[in-house]
Amino acid sequence: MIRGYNIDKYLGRDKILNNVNINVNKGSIYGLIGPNGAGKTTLLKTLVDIYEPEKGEVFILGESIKDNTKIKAKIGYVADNLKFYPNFKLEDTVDFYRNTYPFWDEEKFIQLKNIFKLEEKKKLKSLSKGMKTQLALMLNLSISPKILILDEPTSGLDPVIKRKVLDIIIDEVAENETTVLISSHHLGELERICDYIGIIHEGQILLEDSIEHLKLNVRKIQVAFKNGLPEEIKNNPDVLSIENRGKVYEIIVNENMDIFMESIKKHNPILLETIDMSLEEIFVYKMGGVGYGFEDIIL
Amino acid sequence: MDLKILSFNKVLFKKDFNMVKFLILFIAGMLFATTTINIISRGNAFNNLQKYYMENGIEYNREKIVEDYKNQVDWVLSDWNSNGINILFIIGMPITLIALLFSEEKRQRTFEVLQVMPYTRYEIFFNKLLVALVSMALPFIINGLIMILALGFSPTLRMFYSVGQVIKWILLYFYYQLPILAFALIFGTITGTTVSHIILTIIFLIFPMGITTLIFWNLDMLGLNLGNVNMFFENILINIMNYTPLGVLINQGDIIYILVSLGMIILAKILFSKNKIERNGETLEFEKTESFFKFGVAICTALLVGLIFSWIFNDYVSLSQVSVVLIMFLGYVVGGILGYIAAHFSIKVNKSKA
Repeated sequence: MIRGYNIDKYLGRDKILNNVNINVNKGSIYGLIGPNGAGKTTLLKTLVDIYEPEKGEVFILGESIKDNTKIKAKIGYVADNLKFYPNFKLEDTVDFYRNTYPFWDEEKFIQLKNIFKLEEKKKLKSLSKGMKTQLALMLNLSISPKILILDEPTSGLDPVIKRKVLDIIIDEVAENETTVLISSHHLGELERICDYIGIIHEGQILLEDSIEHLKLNVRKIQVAFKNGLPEEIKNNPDVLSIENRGKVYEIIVNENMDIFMESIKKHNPILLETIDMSLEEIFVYKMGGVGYGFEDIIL
Repeated sequence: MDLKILSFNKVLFKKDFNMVKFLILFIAGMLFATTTINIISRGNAFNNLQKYYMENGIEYNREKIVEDYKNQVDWVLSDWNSNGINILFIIGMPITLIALLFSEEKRQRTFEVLQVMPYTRYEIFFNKLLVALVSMALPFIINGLIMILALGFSPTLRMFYSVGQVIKWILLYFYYQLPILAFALIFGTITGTTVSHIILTIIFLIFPMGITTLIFWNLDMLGLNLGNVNMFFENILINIMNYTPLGVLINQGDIIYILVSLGMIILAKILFSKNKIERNGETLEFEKTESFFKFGVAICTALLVGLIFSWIFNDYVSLSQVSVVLIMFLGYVVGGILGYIAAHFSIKVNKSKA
């Protein structure tokens, strides 16, 4: 659905994206997470053909996005710093979108208008950031998008509206199998709605995986042995971290869970327990080695 | 092959027209106040004058007065020089239109919205150009219609002008405005902000004449005025004037200005398709033009400051020729550095950030 290959992008002399590969499957919600300045907005703008990459290619719905009006008609894009025509009234903007997009859904628009309750006579320059985000969502969901790309859509929103926005996105995917790529600098916000997560840091995608796969494969094990932790376990390449409190060891294991459990059982543990981890904890352990600033993305 | 030359799009046209309609109304109003009123009030003025002569028993030559009025109306309708405000319609309006349609979208970064939408760059450019051309002519068409309508109501006015003259007036101003619009369009595509667009368009509109004058004055101050140099530079100035968009004001009816305008529009279209959206909001859209801009500004400022230095010092102390040359060279250095820093700073301050 959304494929970016080997994307390099410079802004001025700064290399903002460095050989980025991204892959978002049909009907999934992909969360792009990274601290401010990591390259999220640049990547999204490159994916929707606002920016032209110096290297690499972007394919959406199987076709190159470059100047592709047929594909662009199926993409909804909500920018972080929303750009609208400030002197237009809300109704002018709605009209502009209504007449531009061939698959405009009036019923959906009325439905969303009733949820967000924005005054159509208002000029856009009088709208707050939150109201502009709501308007952008309203417009971009009404165009019946096959692809929805949202750049920090919840930033600047109050908690009630934030929840409402996220619920609407989930409904959109459930009803229309829309593919959603959503960026945020807060992991906790996206954990609830995303199927896939990509971590971007200093212009590179450090990790791309499904949440299900991450949660299934990265586990915390509490274990105790009569004679301390055997060397074989300590040196296992799948171990991400070991901490101990007295005789009890907390081991974080990455991948090959079944094989690891077998190797533990061989040493007759006196305590063996598997504990589920939150996404937050998983990232702390998985990304700790690359010097990633977790404090920036964890609420 | 899908060869689409005319890409009219009603939605884009309407959106762009909305952005400039206030300017059209403003110019139409100004034109009405400065030209149309002047023309259509001639009927009443003539009748009142006749009445006055008759009531006071003054003998008059009706044919002569009619001829005078006819000539005055013809002068107003055919000579842009008949009213100083016409320069505003000929130069100010096209530049402002392009600034509103192109540069404002860059400054506010709303081109990003259009780029995501299912429109090609060509459609965006074509409809903006169409709106600019229509908007440029509309105030004249509105006022022309009023003048034509007035002919229907006033038999007296029919003595002074005809429908044909009004149509010629509309076309004449379109002809005057077209090269300026095309010239402004090129700068609208190579600059990234409204301010840099307007300033650079005006500078380069007068630059060929300005730089020639500057060089001439500098040579004169340096004592290099050799015999017929005055005449030589005057000839150069006239020739340069002829070959710039402003030349249209002198060489009325020369088709070359329409052809050159079309060439400039095609060049602007090519440049527009090469615009990088991320450079919207920066002084210049193309990195390669930055050095030219910096050194260009530095050279012009150097020449200007050199002159100013020599004038200032000449006013207070009587300088020998050698001292004048030294003072001017000091001015060149100071002006060059100041110009370069100013140009460099104006580019730097608008640089887009990641």
